[in-house]
Amino acid sequence: MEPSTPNGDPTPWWGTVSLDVRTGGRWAVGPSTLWLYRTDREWRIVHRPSPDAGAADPLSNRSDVTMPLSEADMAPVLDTDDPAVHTSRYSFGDTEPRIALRPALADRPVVSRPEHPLYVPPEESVTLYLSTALWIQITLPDSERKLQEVPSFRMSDTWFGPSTVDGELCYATRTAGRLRLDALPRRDHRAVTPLRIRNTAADPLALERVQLPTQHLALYTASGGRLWTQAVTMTHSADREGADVQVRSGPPADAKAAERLQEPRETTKKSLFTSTFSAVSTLFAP
Amino acid sequence: MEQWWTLAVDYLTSPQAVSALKALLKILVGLALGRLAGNGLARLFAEDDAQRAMILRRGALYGIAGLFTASALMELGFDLSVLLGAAGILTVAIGFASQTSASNVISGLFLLGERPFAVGDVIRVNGTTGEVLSVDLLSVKLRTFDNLFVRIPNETMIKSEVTNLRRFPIRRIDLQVGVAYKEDLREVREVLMEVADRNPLCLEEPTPLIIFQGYGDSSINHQFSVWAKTEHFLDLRNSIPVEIKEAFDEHDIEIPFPHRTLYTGSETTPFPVQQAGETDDPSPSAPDPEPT
Repeated sequence: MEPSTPNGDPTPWWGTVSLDVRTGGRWAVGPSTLWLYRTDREWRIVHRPSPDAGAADPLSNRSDVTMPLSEADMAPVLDTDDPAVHTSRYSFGDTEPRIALRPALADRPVVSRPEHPLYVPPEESVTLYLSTALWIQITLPDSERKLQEVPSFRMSDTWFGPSTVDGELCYATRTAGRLRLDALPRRDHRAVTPLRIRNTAADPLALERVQLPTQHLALYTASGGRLWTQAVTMTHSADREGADVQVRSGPPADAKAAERLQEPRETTKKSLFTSTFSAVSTLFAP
Repeated sequence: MEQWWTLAVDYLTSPQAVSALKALLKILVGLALGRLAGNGLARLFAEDDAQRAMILRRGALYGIAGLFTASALMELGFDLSVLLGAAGILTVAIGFASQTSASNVISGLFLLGERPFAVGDVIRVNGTTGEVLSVDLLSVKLRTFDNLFVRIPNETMIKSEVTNLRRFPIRRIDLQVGVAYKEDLREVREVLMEVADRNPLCLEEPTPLIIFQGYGDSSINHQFSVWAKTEHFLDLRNSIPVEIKEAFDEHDIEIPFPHRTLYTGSETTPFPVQQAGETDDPSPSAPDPEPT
């Protein structure tokens, strides 16, 4: 792992590390904690979704790495029978010393709801900064084997679609709907998506919820260690309900020098989708 | 012996024997071709639809084998028009004799056309819930969740109410929650909503519903409805009650059991109540509620 950056930014939790036999490491990423432990025959992955017994706090901002940990330090974790802790073992004839942790975006679209409804007047365009929780991919870089993927924060499920019959299962998150980048707190277990919303219709557009196609977005890392996704533009026009969604290629304008860290989960030829902003719940009577 | 031999050779080389052999060959070829064509059609048009694959396979097999059989019969010298006429009369006779089977066959065709469910769906018919294994000519076969094989005649399926539990992607779970009369109902609503919010399997939208059901005998009753993905229905149904109970305990919200108050009336003296361990001064306190 790289040392802490000079301007006081926390150490990024992702990267490739080498662990000796019978040693381990501990990664605290957002609300969840991950332990990796290597013996000569197995890799053991221990994951705890929240720092304490209660529910995970999506805003907890932790990013620290403790390694190497000796067998004695790891013993309480390896022998735990806490039901909140999930342990998986991966056995090999001979384990490789190097293991990589990589951030990845959500595997389903994320529906973001502003805490207060946000209106975009006609002929106006705004940029919102939305952050979504990341997944941690654990891979063996030498043999390019993917071991496991765990969410740094398990977002709640939600349904996005015109009715209960037709729609798509998504993750739900709430957003403060920040319009300025410097107002956005830095959280290392979340990636920021600049979302530009253009309203070309004659009526003001009420933003009640926004569906981000995260599985089609690539992940970038900027110089400070901040994680970005590709920028997304949503255009609402008068002649149609909902909006056209376009994924911009390349790093976002706010971090032009950012390097590509992860490819999109699903590649699609079309960069255009359609989406809606309005409430679907009005359709559901008791 | 010699005579027998020549007789056998005569029979085998006679034109009738040759045509019988040809007919047999035609039927065999028809069966093989029907099976091949069915498999081919299923692979072409119904790669991931088990039900359509089954229909295509059966249709191709019966159609092609039927044609080849008719041709084989012609080979044997049967006049098919006579045969069809005879079959017409026979059908009436058989129809009367096998009403049930015939109605099942017709019902089966309607079921296939209407498609209220497909192979692999979970359905409930007359109180039996199970996974559809196959939709056949006479019956639908189910596997119940305690692993029993259930055969339901197609006629019953057409006549009775069939519920498909897997048709739509999301489902609602309705829970009846009763709280004591002393509780603050606003707080109860908040606690329930927070429980739904914390459970990741509980869908945020459609939003959970709390519907007032009435002032019950010993509790105020609400219906708490949460939505889940159909696959997670059982997980959520089992986890949500545990979480509600935990949250209620944490906030000191009482889930009451039926209460019965014994009252002796204003005309009579109160019940003497004595606490264990106390020997004197039986205080005439109000009677304790008693579970029934």
